[in-house]
Amino acid sequence: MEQQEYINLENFDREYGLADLFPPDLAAGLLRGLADHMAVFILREDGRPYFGKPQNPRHFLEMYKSAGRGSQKTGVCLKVAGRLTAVYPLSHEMETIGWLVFQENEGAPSIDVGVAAEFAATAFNRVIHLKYRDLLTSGLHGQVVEESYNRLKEKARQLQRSETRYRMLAQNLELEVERKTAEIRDTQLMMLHQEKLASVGQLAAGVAHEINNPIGFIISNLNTLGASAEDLSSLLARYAGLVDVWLNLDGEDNIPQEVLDEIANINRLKQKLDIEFIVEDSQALVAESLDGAERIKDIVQNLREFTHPSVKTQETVDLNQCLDTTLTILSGQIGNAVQVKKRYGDIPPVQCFLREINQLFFNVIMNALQAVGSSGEIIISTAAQNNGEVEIIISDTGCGIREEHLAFVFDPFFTTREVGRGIGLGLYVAHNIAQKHNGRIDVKSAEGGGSEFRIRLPHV
Amino acid sequence: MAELITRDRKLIVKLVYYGPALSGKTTNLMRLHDMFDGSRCGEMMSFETKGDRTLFFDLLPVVVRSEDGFTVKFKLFTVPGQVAHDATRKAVLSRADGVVFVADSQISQAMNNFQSFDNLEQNARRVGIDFKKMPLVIQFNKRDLHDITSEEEISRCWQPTGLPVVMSSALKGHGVHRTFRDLLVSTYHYLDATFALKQRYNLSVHHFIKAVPKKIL
Repeated sequence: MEQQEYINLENFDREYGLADLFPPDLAAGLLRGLADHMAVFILREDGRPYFGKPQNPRHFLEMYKSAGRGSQKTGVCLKVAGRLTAVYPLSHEMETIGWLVFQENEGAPSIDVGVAAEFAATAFNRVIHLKYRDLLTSGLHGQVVEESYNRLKEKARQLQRSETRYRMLAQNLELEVERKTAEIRDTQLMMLHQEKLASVGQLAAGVAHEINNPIGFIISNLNTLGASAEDLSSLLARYAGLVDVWLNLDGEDNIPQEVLDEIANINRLKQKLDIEFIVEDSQALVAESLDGAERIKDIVQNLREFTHPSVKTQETVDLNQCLDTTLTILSGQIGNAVQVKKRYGDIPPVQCFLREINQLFFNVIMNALQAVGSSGEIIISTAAQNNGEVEIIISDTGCGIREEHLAFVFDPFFTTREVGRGIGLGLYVAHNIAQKHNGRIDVKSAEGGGSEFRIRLPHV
Repeated sequence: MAELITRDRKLIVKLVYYGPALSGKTTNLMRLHDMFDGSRCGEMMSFETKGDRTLFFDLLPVVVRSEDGFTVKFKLFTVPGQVAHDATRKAVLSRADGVVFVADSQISQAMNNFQSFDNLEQNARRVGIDFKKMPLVIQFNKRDLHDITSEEEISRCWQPTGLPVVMSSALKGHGVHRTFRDLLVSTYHYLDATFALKQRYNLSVHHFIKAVPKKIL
């Protein structure tokens, strides 16, 4: 039996017919050996030919239906046109699905078709039953395998999806961690700096307030002291005049010796104390002290401005004034032989956070002061640009920056100063502040040839 | 859903015996087969492993014909109860027109009954059967054994569902007949609503009940 069989994945429990249960190929194979001995036909349930080509197929059915059957046999065997003919039903699940017809050859019959048909019908019905089993089981098995396969496929798809997701996650994880770490580090630095600014500001504001009161009464007292000294001097002069008048009127001879001695003593004391100088100098001392006190008052005032508490709000600021304030604060750091030249231009006001801008200038100027050391020149110039920016250039004649260091000067914790002199945050903070104000800061420098920091900030 | 072949005036109805492993589904079919006189039912087909455990299913075809020459073929299937054969169970359940749930009355099997019933509900949903409308008969089998759940408890549990509940001992043939009859009645009403069996083919519930074997063991 050379036949191709497929497992049908349709419903295994569907109705099966003659073509499914007793395919023509199978019938041909089983009946091949009988063809020489008799005519063999298979009819469909309604009498149409299924296998072989009978002349008058309906005739066989009529014969079967009209014939009375013996109790034992399911088929009939009668002579039709002089030839013995056996008709047996082929059945499946108590239903006739076809007919098996054996008809003896004309002339000399070589075989008993009745016996052969009964045997063959029994065998074929068994084959049909087995084929039914085969179809049911292979169909069901096919369905089950198909379903299991589909379930596995779906599971594999889900696994693949989640695997892809995890792999991508793993790949990105490192980058993500790096990015987050950098973010956290920067935030920490900014917070550290802001904390520092805030505490320094608070401290400075507190100190300034404390100094303000005593300096007030010092100035007041100095003024009073100056006036009192002047009064005392004039009183002293009047007494000296009195002595002169007395001496002129009475002459020395008429004045008692004790008085003359006392006058001589007083004159000696006056000479010894250099009273004339004291009287002259006291005014100068008071004036100088007043000057000093006024300067302290100025510094305190500037300090308060510098640590202006308005961190959170922007205000409109004259940058030239900011630079002046900063310079005042830094005046103590400016060496004797250091010249600071201001070349301020006419610049528009800038909208900014005052305290931060002060800090920016402070850090850059401080850097310049440290670069020049005890002697040199610092030039601070400001100018308005055509593109809506203000440019501030702070240049110095200091030690300059090595070429290989140039790229790092704005990096956090980069410092060329000796340990303890700087932690490397000044220019980093300056850079951050410039960026925060949508501005920028850059540097040109050559080792030994000074540096030039250029700050650009957009104005309103 | 039942297959109606109008050309042949024939209706194919699929009935499935569902339930936990070893609850007696195959025994139910065997007893039915024994009760038929032979002209009504065909050969029973079983696919069992060596230990009498159903591997694929059992199949018992039962045929009735009305006086008008209309044929109704009932195909009675059992599912394999073992948990591992769920895909097979699902395939056998698909297109079922009516279901008998064969529960094991032994107290020790209560959890298995519950799980199997849950599995029936799930599989019905998966193969597109409306579980709430599906004709269903509950059979509590093995009533001949000791340590079984009492009838009071069973009825307390199942009465609210309104489902027919039959006590049986399939091994002895008790209740098998009744279960099949109840299922045929439920299934008839269900299919009549879909196919108008009475109106179009003059098929009444009595024609379905004819499928029940006369002989009672």
